[in-house]
Amino acid sequence: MTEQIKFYRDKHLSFIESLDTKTEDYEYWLSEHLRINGVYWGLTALCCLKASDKFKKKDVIEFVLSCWDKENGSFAPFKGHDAHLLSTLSAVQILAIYDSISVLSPEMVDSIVKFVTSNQLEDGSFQGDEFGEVDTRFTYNALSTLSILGKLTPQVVDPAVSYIKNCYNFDGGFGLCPGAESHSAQAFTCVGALAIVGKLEETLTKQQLDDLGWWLCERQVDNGGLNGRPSKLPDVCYSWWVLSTLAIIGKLDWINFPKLHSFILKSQDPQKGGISDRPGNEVDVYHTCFGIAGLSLMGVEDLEPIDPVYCMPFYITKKFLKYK
Amino acid sequence: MHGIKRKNFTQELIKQKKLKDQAKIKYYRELNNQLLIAYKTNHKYDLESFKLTSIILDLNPELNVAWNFRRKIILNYFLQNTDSNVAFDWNQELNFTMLQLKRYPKVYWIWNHRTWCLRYVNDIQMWQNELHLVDKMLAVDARNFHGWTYRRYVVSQLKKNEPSNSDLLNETEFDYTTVKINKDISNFSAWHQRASLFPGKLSQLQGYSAKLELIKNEISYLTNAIFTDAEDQSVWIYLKWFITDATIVGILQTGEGGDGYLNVLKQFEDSIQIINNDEIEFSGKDNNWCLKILIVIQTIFFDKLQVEKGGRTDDRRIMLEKLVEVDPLRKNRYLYLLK
Repeated sequence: MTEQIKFYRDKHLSFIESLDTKTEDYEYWLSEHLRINGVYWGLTALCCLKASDKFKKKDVIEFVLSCWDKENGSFAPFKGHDAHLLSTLSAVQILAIYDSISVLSPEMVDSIVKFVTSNQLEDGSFQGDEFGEVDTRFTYNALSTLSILGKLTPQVVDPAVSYIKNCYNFDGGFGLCPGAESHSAQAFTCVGALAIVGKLEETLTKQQLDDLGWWLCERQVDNGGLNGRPSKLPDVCYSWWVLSTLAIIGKLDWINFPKLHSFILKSQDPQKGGISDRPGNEVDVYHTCFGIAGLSLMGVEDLEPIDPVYCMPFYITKKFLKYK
Repeated sequence: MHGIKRKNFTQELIKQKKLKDQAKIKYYRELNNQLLIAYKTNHKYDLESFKLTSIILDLNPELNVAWNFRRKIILNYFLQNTDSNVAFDWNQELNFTMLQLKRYPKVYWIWNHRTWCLRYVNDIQMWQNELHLVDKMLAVDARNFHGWTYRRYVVSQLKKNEPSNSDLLNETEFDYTTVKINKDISNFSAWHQRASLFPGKLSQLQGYSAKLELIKNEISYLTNAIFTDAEDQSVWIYLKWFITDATIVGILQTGEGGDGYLNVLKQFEDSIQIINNDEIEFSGKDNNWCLKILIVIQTIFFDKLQVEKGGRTDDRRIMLEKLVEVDPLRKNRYLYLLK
């Protein structure tokens, strides 16, 4: 590294710790629909920083349980909101990180499984909830949730895999549904989902994996950052979506590490900590999490190694039941 | 938060913002509480609740629970009510989401709500109106992937409603990609769409010579594009697809005594070499996309077609070694391919 910018570890810690104290900001109240996701992002960043004790485990678990939506039988992003696959995965991830899946009664686990599987459609895709939005993000949410709970079955997995296959594009990337343009985040959700169910090699040929690696490494632009699609601006969150996918397919080193490292460091706020989408912009917990997780994948800044498939520390995911 | 410039507030400014936020927070939290009580505790599906969702969604279009409540009010109140005075006005609902989309074109929940509404309306005139709407959205931001996804959905519904119009729609959609690319050659969303439409356009044509003519036209369009902007990856990604697509290759292979495909590849190879030589003359360096695609072409020559080398040399290793120098970001991919 020739860059002089340092990694503001302590400032990031205090930024993440301060997130739940911003009640005097209007934006805090406008973001309730993302609260449980925000807790997962904050906690994952803390895990990478080897400081997960900065959040009070008891309070966090209490918060997660307060998000239970009785009517729909799964987790909402906030108390009194509706369950969704996005918030369901975040809830289960947080509990897994705290080694606390056991706080869920067997009835609750059954109910989550039912919620997830009832949102699978005939073509193998998943809708986020009963209102019909379909996206390969939800496929990932569903398979990851079931995997963490040890509840994957061929009835769910096989059609899901064939749907993912239909989202593969001629350029080597994946779209949010069949026919949609390739997008880096969708590469992660599709390839991550295939990896969770152990079907990466049997679904994609060596040529297709090479093409995917090619498409992904072309996301790096001259300033070192990664973009989500051709001719778009780089954004720190793609440090995760692109890099994790490259890691899963064994081509992590196909992009330039020092330049991406420097791009992420330049996107830090040196005063109050946290990381933004690109240098000079306002920071948030989402980009802080994925920036730090990206640094962890590159093995720099002495961070806890993170599992590219689950976006959780390896010391947690190694305990998950492998689906065969 | 995407694309919001960081502001370095002074203590005084922070104080002022907090003071200002106080009133906004109070108002928003009151509405939010009212909404959640009406929805979850009282299941109050009526006009008043409906208006409440409009007010709060106007303040915060990301509040998914408000969209859900709104849909349940439509289903359980408006659509159940036989009194024509309260008949639900879908056009007004579509108008509400359109105003929201204009302000927040990247919010998933709004697109989702619009799609949900359309399932209940579903008439041909409405789908045509939607096509105009998405035209306008893509005129403002030609790369909005929500817009493109929505466009494909609208077109698929138009086809379902009027199957006899399918061919015509494919035609106009293909022309739409041409317009978008001519406006901005780096618009990969349009190139992507073009690649999904081209094989369909081919299969619509009757007879070999008509198909071949279409392919030849596309070759000259592409050749023109790479000469126009050899730096941008969009056209190169499309070109890579075009010379490997099974339908196109199949048609080319049956022509010119079996050499049609080979001749097209040679033609592209010549053009790309000219572009690369110009670049070397101009900047002293190879154009990295020229090298990448020349490698693809040579791989087809030597590995797939197994053409007689007769005078032709396999330069792939030399080109990969050059790429290590001219495209250092991706150095390790080239080293992998060299192995």
